[in-house]
Amino acid sequence: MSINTRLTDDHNHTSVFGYLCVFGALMIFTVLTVLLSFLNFGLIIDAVIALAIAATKASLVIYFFMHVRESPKIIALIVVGSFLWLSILFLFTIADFQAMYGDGPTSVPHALPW
Amino acid sequence: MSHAVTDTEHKPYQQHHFENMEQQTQSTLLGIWLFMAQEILFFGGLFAAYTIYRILYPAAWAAGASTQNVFLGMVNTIVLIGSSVSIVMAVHSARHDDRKAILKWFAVTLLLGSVFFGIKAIEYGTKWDHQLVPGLNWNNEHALHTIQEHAPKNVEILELPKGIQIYYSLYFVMTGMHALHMVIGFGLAFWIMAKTARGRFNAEYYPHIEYFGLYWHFVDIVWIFLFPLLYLV
Repeated sequence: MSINTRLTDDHNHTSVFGYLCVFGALMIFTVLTVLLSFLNFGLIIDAVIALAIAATKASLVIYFFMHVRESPKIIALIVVGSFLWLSILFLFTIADFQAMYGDGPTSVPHALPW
Repeated sequence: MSHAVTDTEHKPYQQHHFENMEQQTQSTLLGIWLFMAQEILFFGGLFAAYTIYRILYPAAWAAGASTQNVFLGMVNTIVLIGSSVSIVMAVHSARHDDRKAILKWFAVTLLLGSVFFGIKAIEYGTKWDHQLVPGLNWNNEHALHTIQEHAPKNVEILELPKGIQIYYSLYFVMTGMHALHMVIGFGLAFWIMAKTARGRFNAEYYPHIEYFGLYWHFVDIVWIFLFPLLYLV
């Protein structure tokens, strides 16, 4: 099996070299996220940075490894749609939580010891 | 009936309810991705619960995450991403009809998956030894002691943070559900390797390998999110 030096081969399919480049990028992001976790910018910013890096890594896996790049566009629509639907779950759950306990942790009744 | 007007070329693996292979391939690809969508929402429920409790109990989350082994978590991340690469190579080999290479890359994937399980077993074992398993062997004094050991130097922890057992419960349930998906993946992989060895696939037809790849990548993506959320708080 020969290794192409281009990122794509005959039918616009990602080559082995292309896959290895994506792997390299994923490794860099993994090390980056660990290193950044040792710096503390504040609770929310830390979480945003970590999630942004994770989302980037996931996007690389989805677009290249899962062949969304070479798939019919409807597949890309389903992927985006799934995360859209997931965001509805998050949005309504957090909105409900904020409405009931928006005054901070002290407004949550701690009935149980844990 | 449709067979009166379709072309005479009828592949042995084309099902009767499809007009041609292209329609079959597109339909099955769509079906598999809809399953992926379901899986995203399935894990999404756990992530939503995680989000709410993390907002509620930031001290517990910081304390719990400090007792995690970030190095082992990072190694596991690298191992799983590596296994995604090997599965991509297996699909690549299938496209080139290289049966030996398909089996080789599947073996590499399962080997890396086993390394992941081994590290997970070490982590779970350590938590069990420190009595950090809620509902099974949780011990408040030991938990506090462990958290105090792992706390940063300038931080003094006087009592167990509220919600600490919820953190550990979510840790075990989320990584456990993820590990269960990997176990299922192992089973599927063995089945596909057997099919491959028997010559059931060729350069034109290898849907099992392609779709197993999608499943395995999904498992990898879940871990890509689990690692920063559970270990790098």
